Amino acid sequence: MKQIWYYILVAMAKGPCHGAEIRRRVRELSGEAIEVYPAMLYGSLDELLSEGWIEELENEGGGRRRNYGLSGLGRERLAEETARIENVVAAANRALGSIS
Amino acid sequence: MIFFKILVRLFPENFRERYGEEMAEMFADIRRERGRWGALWFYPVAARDIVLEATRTRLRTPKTEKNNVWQFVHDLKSDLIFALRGLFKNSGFATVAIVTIAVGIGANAAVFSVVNGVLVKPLPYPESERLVMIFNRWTNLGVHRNAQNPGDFFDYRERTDAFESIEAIGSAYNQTLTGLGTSARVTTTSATDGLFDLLGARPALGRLFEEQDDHTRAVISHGFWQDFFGGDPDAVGRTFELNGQATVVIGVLENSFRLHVPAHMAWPQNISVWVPIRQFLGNAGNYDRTAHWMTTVARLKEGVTLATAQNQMDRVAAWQRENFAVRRDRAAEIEVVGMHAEIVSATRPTILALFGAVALVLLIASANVANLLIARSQSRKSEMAVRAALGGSRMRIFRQVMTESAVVASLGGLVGIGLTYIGVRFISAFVPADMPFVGNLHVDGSVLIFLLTVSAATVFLFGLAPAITASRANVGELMDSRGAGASGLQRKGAGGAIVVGEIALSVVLLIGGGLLVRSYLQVGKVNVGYEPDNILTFVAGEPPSLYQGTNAEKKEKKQAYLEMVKARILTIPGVLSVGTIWPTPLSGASDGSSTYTDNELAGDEQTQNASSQLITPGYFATMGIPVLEGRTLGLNDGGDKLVVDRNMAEKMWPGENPIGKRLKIGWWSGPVWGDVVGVVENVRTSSVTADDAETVYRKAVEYAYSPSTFVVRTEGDPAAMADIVRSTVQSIDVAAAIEQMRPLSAYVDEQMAPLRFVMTLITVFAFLATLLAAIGLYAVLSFVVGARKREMGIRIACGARPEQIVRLVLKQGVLVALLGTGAGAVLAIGLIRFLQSYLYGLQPSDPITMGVVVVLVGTVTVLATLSPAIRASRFDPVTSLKME
Repeated sequence: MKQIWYYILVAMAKGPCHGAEIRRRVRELSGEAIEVYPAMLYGSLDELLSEGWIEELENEGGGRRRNYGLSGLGRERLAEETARIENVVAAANRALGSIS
Repeated sequence: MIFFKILVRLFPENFRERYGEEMAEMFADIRRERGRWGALWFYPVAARDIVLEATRTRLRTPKTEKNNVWQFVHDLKSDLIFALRGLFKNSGFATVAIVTIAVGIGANAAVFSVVNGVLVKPLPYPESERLVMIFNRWTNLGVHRNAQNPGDFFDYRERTDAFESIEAIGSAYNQTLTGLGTSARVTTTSATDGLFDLLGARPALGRLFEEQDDHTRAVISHGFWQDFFGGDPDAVGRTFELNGQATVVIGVLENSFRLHVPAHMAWPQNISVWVPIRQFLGNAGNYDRTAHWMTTVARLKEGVTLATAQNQMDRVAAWQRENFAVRRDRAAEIEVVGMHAEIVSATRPTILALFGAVALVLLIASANVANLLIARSQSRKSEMAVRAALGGSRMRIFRQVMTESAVVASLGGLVGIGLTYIGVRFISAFVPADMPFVGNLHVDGSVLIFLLTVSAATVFLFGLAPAITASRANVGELMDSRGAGASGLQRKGAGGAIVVGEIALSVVLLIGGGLLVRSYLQVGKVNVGYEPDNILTFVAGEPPSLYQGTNAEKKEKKQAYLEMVKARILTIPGVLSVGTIWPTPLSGASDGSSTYTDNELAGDEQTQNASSQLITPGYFATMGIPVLEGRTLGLNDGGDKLVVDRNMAEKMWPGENPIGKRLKIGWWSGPVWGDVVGVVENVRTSSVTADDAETVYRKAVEYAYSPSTFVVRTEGDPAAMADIVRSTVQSIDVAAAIEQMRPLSAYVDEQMAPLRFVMTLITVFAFLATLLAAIGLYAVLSFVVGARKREMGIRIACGARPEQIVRLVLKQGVLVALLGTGAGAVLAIGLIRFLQSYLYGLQPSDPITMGVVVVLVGTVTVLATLSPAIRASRFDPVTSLKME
């Protein structure tokens, strides 16, 4: 999974949000390390929508912005990816431990 | 934001629509966060972001499209198989549809071959689009497209710079050829040295004109070289005589070279001998400005428009009016016209009218097939509805029906290719011989491309409506409609409207065809003022022995010769009388008109134009032209005795006795006076349909060089007398060259050729159209009757008699026909003005034609309606009700 996708999915895991909010959360999550530019963000959202990992939600606030949330499939994928990363991190820690 | 607005266009449209606004907002947010200096850094980064992402998005889309392509191919294959299977199963429908479309396409492609060959193909000269022709216009005399005098030609050369070159051709005339073992009449003309170069002509042998050549040097055509030199490779340098003038061959033109000129110049088809024009032009600085006998052809400089050239010529014309009184009197102008446009100008409206007419046939054919397809899709409605219910998308169903149409159109186009060849043959048989570029009439690449395009267009023309109808099918409607009853009635509306349109279009063609047939019959009955049957005509070139001596001697010899030939011909059994005339009546050749006045001091504007005819005694008697007053010209009359026709007498001396009046004739060698000795009835000698022109008859022998056409009245078929007349003339002098020996009726026939051409084609189209419309009416009524089987059954069960049922169906057919005829008649009156020039003595609203068309359409309607009507009256109520 692409890094940016992972960040977006994590950002949405907290609850549905719109594009600008996703950007804010991703920056926060990454400790300001990742700047999400508009084209990259909306391109990714479009792809995630067509993969069926996220879905567009009814706009409760009535504003112009579209809200997005994780779909069931998206939640599964996020869990899988998180588990994979955990494995990688654990393996890395083990490897680092054995060296030191 | 302009920065963003431009870049965001890199995204596909649907992406922009969906996310564009929010992206723009975020873009603005980030820029604000960065502050003024940060924003500077931000722009390149944001640009990179957009470009990369847009590319990714664009690349992502084809991936799905690729799948679509495969899906499409797969669907297409199954659609095709399905369509072919369906057509095969339903071979009756398939045959009717394919033949109908093939007829429409074939007829259109055949007519297109004429459009292409005559109007589209450029002239066979290099860069011919820059070639123009230049004419004089005498605005005050209403004369257009007049020839030039040598002075004009040099004015053009000296006073304009829009042209790369300006060249001229002299007039074309026949001369007697001798000195090559045989004697013949050949067509000759003169030209400036640069003409051949202008038209891209090259010599096959020898060379073309150069500055040192005078009129004793000649370039000959390839045909002349073959006919008279047997293709001798040493022909260059050999000598022959033209009207007694020794002429040396300096070159032979390529076989492919033809000089094309507009029909209004009335030129012979092929020029055999060309001589340099130089010594006919007069002396430099003192060029002749009286006789107009030259035609100018020029090539525009690269990038110069016709309008610029016209502007310059307008200035030349203004200068000429300032300097020459004649030009002022005539309000002379100069006309610059594209050469190709000018050559085809007379034919263009005809060809376009035919093209329009044949397009109507295709429209009717397509409407018919559309009707058939709708009827078929109606009977397959349940199939379509079930498919839709099972998840077949509308698009899929739409496509499937369109595929079927495409298959019909393709097969129709294929059969249409064959019909095109037949059509071109048919057209060639009727095409008038004097139509420009008739040689170009064949099926070539452009015609096939046209055929392909039209076939493809018909898919939409007839396929769209059925495909839309079919894709709208749904199960609900199917259930509601309880069988075909309701939907049948519903669709009667659409089908009926289509048939009304078909009938209207065929009525347009029928009225057009009817008017042309009536015109043709009228023209055939025109009283030309003489009896053209049983007259043999031929042009006799005088033997070279007549060309020696002084002018007076030549005249005497010529008169003696003509009278001797006439006397000999009279001895042939079966010959009733003989005379001579020039030019040949109805041949299109013209000696031009001259101006006449009876006032010694009259200026140009007070003269009367009249056609000049040169005759010898016996002409009026042979032609059967009544002498109204006075006498005809006798053997002893000279050029100072004139006979005028009734028109001329009434114009010049209304209410007075013309006998004994004097006329001044503007002749090229200076004015000549003559006495009127007789008045004859008006006759039509220039054209069968043109109004009688004022005519003055003079004695032929006064003008030693002008040829004479013999008119011989025979007891029986004049063509059968041709051989004996020829041998009789040549028994006097074997060197007498005889040409154009044919019955006078052949010229009448030739005059009718253009009208016959248009009439035949339009009539054929009209009958095709009517046949197709009748098939359409029959098909729709059959369908409606079938769909109303239940209703009919109930009516019969309730006691309706068969004739009442027949009347019911007939009423529908007649209503459709009435509406169509009415609409067609209105349309026709609007459209028939395109044929106006062919209508002779008729109005477009000619009641007889209208009446015949109404009766014809009525009859065809009843015939097409009767069979479905009778079928309906025979429905058995029990079975038709059981169907439900």
